[in-house]
Amino acid sequence: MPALASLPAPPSGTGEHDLLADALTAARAGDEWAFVMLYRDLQPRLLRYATALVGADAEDVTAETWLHVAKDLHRFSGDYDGFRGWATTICRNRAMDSARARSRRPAQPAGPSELAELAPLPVGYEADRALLDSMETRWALDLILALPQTEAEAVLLRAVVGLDVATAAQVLGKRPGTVRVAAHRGLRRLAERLEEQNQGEYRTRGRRADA
Amino acid sequence: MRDGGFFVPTQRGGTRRWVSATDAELLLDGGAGPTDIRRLLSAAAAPAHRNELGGEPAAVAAFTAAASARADPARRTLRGLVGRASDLMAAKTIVATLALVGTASGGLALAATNSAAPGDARAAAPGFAEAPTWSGAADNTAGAVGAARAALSAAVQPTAQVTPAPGAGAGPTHGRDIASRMCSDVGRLGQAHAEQDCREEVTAYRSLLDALDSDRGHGRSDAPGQVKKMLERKNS
Repeated sequence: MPALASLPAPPSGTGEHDLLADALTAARAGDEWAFVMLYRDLQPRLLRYATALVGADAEDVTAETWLHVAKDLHRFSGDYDGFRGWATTICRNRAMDSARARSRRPAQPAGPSELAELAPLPVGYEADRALLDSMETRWALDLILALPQTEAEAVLLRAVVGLDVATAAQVLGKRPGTVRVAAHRGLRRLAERLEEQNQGEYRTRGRRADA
Repeated sequence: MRDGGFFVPTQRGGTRRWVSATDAELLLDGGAGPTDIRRLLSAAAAPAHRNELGGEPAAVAAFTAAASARADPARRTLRGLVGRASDLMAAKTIVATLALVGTASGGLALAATNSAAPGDARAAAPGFAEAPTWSGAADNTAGAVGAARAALSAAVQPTAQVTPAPGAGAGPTHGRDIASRMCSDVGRLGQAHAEQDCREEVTAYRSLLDALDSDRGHGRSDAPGQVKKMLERKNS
């Protein structure tokens, strides 16, 4: 597969991160153009995360998230990392609302950690795959979304949404150590899947060579 | 599992590489690591695909509506600023503005390095009392967006506090470079449309500046006409 130009979370102190920090300041003052910059940076990250939570409803969930962000951005105070954390928290809450609405169970007070049970991962996920028109991105997200929910969420929040451990823990309502362990377990499991894929390809190539 | 780490396969399979807990954190932060897992995480965090941005018009509309509802005077876009310039550039204002420019010995104060506060600039050019209040980003001219905004703000607020230019046009060139760099930065984020919009705005401002520069060099007899022509072109 061709290598993709990747856009991992720009770390603090880089030009890109500074540009987005400036965009945040400008958007808070009402600049539409700056708001578009924030949207284009964060929307794909949120959509991929929301897909892990609510599958086919991810687009609706992120749309609601942005309505909330658009309305309250001028009141937001904090840096760009904080902004990502804030928007992700809104996204997660909307996802929980969506999962509850879909659930036929009687309404129950649910904590963030119960989301996994409310929104089993594979439901409707296939329908959203059309949104991801890059085969490489789809391949990677398939592997991540196949992880146990807590591990998938931890990996997505850290590596895709771009949150640091403390902010990810805040979004999930968990301890930073718990999130760290979940993310590491997720990575280990991903490594195992990759190894299985590699061995599969290796065996296939071997059989072709023998034939 | 030692050190909370784990083994990952190398790209060719067969051999394995140990990833410590520290390495894992680096990977999750977007840093380097074993090829396969790095490739997977990079692909998952790849730039937006077109289909993922379908909600943008609705989000921007909500943002605009919220800003309008607050009647925030700081709500200005670069594009809006161009439109606003035509409103503000009434004949009387143009004359007053050009008179100010004409009395200045150097170029327009355009560079972001000009630390004059927008408020000061407005005081020097009362005709622009309705000009956008560049709050927020104007306080942070270190970044590209802030710099470009300061540059564009100064471009429509000619002031007697002119940046002394060692060579003719050095000030404006600096400001234009900053604006151009900002467009490139926007493009680097994979936002081709935003970059195009940005470049259009910068081009429009360049035309305005060229008209004013040309006026300064030619007794400014036709400057109001040039500015008017440029704004008509922009608005058509």
